[in-house]
Amino acid sequence: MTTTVKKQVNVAPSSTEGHFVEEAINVVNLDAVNETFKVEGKSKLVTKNHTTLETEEDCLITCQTVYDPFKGVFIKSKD
Amino acid sequence: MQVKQLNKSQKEKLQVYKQMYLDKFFANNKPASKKEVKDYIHWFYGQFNVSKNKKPKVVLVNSPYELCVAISMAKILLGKIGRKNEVSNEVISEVSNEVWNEVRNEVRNEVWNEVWNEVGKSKLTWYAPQYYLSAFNPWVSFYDFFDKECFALKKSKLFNEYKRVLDLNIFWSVPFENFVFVSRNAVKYCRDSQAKLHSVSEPAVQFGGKFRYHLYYIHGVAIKRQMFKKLLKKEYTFQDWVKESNEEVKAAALSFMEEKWGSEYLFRFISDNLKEVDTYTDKKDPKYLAGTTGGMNIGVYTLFKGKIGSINLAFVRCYCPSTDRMFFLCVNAENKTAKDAIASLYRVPAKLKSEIKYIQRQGERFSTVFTDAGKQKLENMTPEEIADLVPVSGNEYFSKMKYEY
Repeated sequence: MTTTVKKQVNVAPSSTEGHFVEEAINVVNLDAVNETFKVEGKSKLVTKNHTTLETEEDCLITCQTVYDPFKGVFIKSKD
Repeated sequence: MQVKQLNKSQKEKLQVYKQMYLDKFFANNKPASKKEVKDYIHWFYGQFNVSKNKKPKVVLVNSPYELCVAISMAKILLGKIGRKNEVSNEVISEVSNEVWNEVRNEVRNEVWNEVWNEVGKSKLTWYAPQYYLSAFNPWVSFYDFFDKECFALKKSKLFNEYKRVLDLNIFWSVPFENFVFVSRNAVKYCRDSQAKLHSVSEPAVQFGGKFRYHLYYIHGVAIKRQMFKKLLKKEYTFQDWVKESNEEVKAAALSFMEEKWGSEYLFRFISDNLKEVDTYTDKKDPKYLAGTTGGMNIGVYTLFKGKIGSINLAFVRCYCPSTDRMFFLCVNAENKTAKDAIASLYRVPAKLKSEIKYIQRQGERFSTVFTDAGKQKLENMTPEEIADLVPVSGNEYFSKMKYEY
């Protein structure tokens, strides 16, 4: 799925507040389950509780994983 | 006229406008008046031709929860169009069973007074302008500043009539063709020093009315009422905390304990269940501290281990560089060092593991920049290869990490 960025794209759909890519040329959702996004071009990552992260070139956004000790599996971290 | 630069006086007034508009919402000191709300909505419907009916009935209740209940009641009543004779028996029974018992007199009376005479005549036809009939219109402050301090807007008179919506002290509205359901604003907001919704002694957002609809926040993080009550009664257990799946909520629980019951209480909550195993301090280049709090906890990671029954637990403690909030993130108990434990939270497609140029982080999201060869590989990877995510070692993780927020 390809998305042309006009304003911002949420690269953390499972997050309560979301993390939003701004000013990129393009954002591609490579893996909807793991929430892996390819960001093309210089971009800013903006969210409510953290400082804005600037990246000067193409990057890959991935989600933190934590361990569920009851199920014995790694899961996407939620915020 | 084009404004290219604000003068000194205009710049000084920015804060005045900011505070004035925040006060309209947060420092509300009078409950919304039925007459004022009704008059405004009739003006709004007439001015903007919202519907053929310029004078919709207005149902004013005390909270968004009451608003939902009121709409449900009205839908049931109005759903019996053309069968008014049946209302006294069938509908009242239906309403009683479904919502009446949950509804206190004031909501019931408000709905009844406005809706009863419309039974048989009207139905709920939804209209869109709910956003414009709510308190959530920050753009008004933007235009008001220009209108008053720079130049009069082209439709200044209309704008100034419209902006009265923010003086009504309402929270939200749901407009229909013949009805508008309106919730009053909350009667109390509690906030922390950074103006985030917060309280460790009472609901951070309190709506009026007998329903006592409240919202609970810890430094801006919403938590459920049940959790708040347990924290307040010291009934929130370590098991509750371990089972909480949202890391922000987990951190909020620890923050609550520290603020409400003190550091000693928090220390015991952790140390009674987890033992410190290892600590790693990542001494960051000062240039990567730009945008952080600069606090002494940045880059300090501590691995804790313990057990619940037969289940092995391991947590790595870290501090948010943007806010200094403390997090305990669950990791696999096979981790032996804090350095590897924190690195285990990161994931990268296995095929690109050797092509990492640098890593950055914002909360729960990692941003990885690859070498040119890595970027080429990424172009041709299959979905299965993208989904094959693996961790890296602690040494590699910290050698590649730049900014962390």
